[in-house]
Amino acid sequence: VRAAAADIVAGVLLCGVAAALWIGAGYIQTRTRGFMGPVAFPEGVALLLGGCSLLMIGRAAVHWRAPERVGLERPESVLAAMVLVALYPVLIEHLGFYPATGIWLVPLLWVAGCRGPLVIGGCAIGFLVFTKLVFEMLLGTPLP
Amino acid sequence: LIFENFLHAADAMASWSVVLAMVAGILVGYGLGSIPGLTSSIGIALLIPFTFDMSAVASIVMLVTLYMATEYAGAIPAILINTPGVPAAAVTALDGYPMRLRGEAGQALTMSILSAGFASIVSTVLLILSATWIASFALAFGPVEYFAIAVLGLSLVSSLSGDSMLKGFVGLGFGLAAGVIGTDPMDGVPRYVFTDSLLSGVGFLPALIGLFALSAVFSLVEKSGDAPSPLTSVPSVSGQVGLMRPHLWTLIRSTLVGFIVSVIPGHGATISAFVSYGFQKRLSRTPETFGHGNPEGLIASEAAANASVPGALAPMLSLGIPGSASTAVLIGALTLHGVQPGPLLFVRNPEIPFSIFAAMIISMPFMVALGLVGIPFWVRVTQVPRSIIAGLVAAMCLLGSYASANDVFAMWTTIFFGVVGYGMRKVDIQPAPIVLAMVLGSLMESNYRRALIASGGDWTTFVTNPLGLVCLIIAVAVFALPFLKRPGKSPPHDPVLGS
Repeated sequence: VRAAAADIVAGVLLCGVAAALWIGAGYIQTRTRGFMGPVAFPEGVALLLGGCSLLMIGRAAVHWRAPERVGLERPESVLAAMVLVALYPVLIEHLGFYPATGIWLVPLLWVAGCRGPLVIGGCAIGFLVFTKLVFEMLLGTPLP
Repeated sequence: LIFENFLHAADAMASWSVVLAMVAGILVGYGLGSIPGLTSSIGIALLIPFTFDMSAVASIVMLVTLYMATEYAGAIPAILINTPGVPAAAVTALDGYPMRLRGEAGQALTMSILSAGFASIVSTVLLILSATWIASFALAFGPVEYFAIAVLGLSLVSSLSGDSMLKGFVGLGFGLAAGVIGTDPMDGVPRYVFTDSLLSGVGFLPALIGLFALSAVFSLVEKSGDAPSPLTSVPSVSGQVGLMRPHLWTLIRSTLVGFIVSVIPGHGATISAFVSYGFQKRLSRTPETFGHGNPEGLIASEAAANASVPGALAPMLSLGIPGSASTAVLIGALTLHGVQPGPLLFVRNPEIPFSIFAAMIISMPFMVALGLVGIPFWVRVTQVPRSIIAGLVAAMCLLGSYASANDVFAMWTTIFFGVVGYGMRKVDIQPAPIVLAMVLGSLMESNYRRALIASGGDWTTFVTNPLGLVCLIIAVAVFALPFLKRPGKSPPHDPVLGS
């Protein structure tokens, strides 16, 4: 991907965050308005973020023909890893910690590039034993 | 008074849990530092959930020793396989790897660990003197001074921003935006709270774990096709102290350079190592040998990088301003234990800073011994496939995040910041300014409003206070200087260090 294009996409998304921050500041319910109130700082942050993001977009547009590129290797694996990571809290809420982690770690390790079934199984079981011993028994952390 | 405070610290540290925490910190730090891709900030963020059940002293001792050990251990893969374990070790690799190619791996490893040990001890003494002095001076600070210091800390973001200052400010803006979510620090009104889980703000630890560790997992997945550089033989390490004798002045000089550079907030181990290396090269009679296995280069970078750990702790402990990304994470850890870094820390909880000082001095001989004896093991660690590391670190990230709040919402926070952090790294927006802004944002806002309320809304209060004014002028200068460079004048290009 062209570095300038990536900068523009990031700049537009961050401009959106700044706009949301600015609009959201209007919904803060307070009687203290002005610079001493709770609204001024978020508005200032929105201006800083929005201004810098616009500058980033402008600079990327000016340097559009620059040869720099953003490297993205194994994009399908990274995307699959993100999806799996996002599935984990859902799995935990439905299955509980140990079954969810066991089921989840196997495909995650495979997506990460691990191919040996013994290594994958060993890592998954090893992690579960580790969490049982350290988190649950030693530290007393209640796991879902 | 210092002696008395050390006695308090000795009392707080006299337990097996603190000793075990120290040993665990060193061991985990060595392991993490030996694995390319895992830095001290990732290590600290991942280890914080293990500290919830510990006392504040035991947990901070564990995290600080981990920080020290990780910074040293990054040199091991840098020397042996030309892959720095932590960013600062990239400078060590410049001369360490050519030494290994010449068959001097054992010598290079011995020099690097002895340099690290010497630099850590000397700079810890400097830390004790400087932090206690700054803290006693800062006790008289009011809201104006704190506001000015927070602005100064944020302006130094340019040094944490990779190549582009503008992107550093974008990261800063994003961090400040994340920091305003939650209950307002002064009026107590909710801001941007769309779920009850956000009432106390964005979870700092889940966000940290996401920004530093989970985003690194995605980078590891991306690179997991690359096998670690193979290592055919395990070098033997002599531990001969005599090796350092011809380089004693280099060692002292680099330690001082590393400490002084890193005391400036935002200037961590990497900048210290680069500055010290460049300085040593300029002083050398044989600068052409730098980058080709000159031991002076190796010592200069290792001593400075390791001296930067106590250096970065000085502003963190005395002013509450993080000196590096790792100290920003340490502030998060202390806050979770109900301890607020800053000048009052030396009055209210003197056992905390003095336990850190004591731990840094006591743990150093163990760290050096473990480094010298454990080389065959750490060498094996460098060979662990990235795919396994990625899977296990991802699981640790989410488990640690859950444990921080016993709430699944914390996991969502980590995932959000992990994906955002990965995307931002792709466009060269580093996570460190985001974290710095999250730490300093509320400090800046609450003190700015307190100062205005105290002065009855009079803005001149920020410029009539001498110390506040000096800090604000420096902050503006730090921000403006990069734009005031003479046009057409580019920095000289060094064949080894680059521009």
